[in-house]
Amino acid sequence: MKKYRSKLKIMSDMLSIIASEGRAGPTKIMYGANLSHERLVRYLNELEERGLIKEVKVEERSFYELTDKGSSFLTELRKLEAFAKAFGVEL
Amino acid sequence: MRVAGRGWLMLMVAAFFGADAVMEATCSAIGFLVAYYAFKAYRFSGNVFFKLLYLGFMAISSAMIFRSSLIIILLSLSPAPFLTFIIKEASLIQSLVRALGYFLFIVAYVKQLKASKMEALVLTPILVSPLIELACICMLFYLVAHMLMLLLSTRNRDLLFILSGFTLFLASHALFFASISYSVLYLVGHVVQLLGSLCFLTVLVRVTKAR
Repeated sequence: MKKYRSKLKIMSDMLSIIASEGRAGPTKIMYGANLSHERLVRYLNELEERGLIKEVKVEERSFYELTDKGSSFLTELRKLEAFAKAFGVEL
Repeated sequence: MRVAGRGWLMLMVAAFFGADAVMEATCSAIGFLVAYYAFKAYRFSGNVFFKLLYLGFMAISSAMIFRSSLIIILLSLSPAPFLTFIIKEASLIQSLVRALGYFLFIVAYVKQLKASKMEALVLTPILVSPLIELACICMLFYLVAHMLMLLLSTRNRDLLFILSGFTLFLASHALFFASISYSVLYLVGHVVQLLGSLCFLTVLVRVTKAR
């Protein structure tokens, strides 16, 4: 049976990819988080609006980086994911 | 001499309740910490599971801190008025609130089961009610423990069959409960239940043959 990811889990995956790369382009995030282009744009906008990521331009190309707020959000999220997993559920 | 003995006894009682209160207060602090994390998880995800987990741990920890604080206050008073009565009533209240906390955990997991798409077959949710199955498991667990104690004290062979019957019934209800996730266990549960019934039938056969 197909298991659906929660919005939080998708955001967590996106932030993790950006964090692991230090700076990631939209294509990298899209494939890494297994998203359609439409959902990628929607979630990127939401993460940006929340101040968790910021867009940077390098040689006319767009990249995304974690902000300080995004970095601490991801740390907290990982702790809570581990907490939820310990109780046998997903965040 | 008698006065000294009484003083020693009072000291022992105080040490006993003191240790009880300190251990319970420590457990309570840990429980509050878990509740805090569960609340944070609820705020992050909005998942009701974590809200129930938070409420459950809050209930258990509050009950523990209530009882341990009361004991510490009573022990600090000399002479403590109605010491045994108050501790007895506080322990009863604590047990009730703790039971409520555990009930909240059960509701949380049952809700989680329903929320996830684990109900692969349409049949089992119709046939099995998780909360009632859990209640049956608890009652049968008591029966099995009681039968085991009886068997140990009397060593009656027929009691062994009755104990086996109730144990198999307990196992069957555990399997019915688990069938919410794995439907095939529902049938296995029925096989185990049938074996339990055969144990009771064996006793009946033995009884009819008795002279």
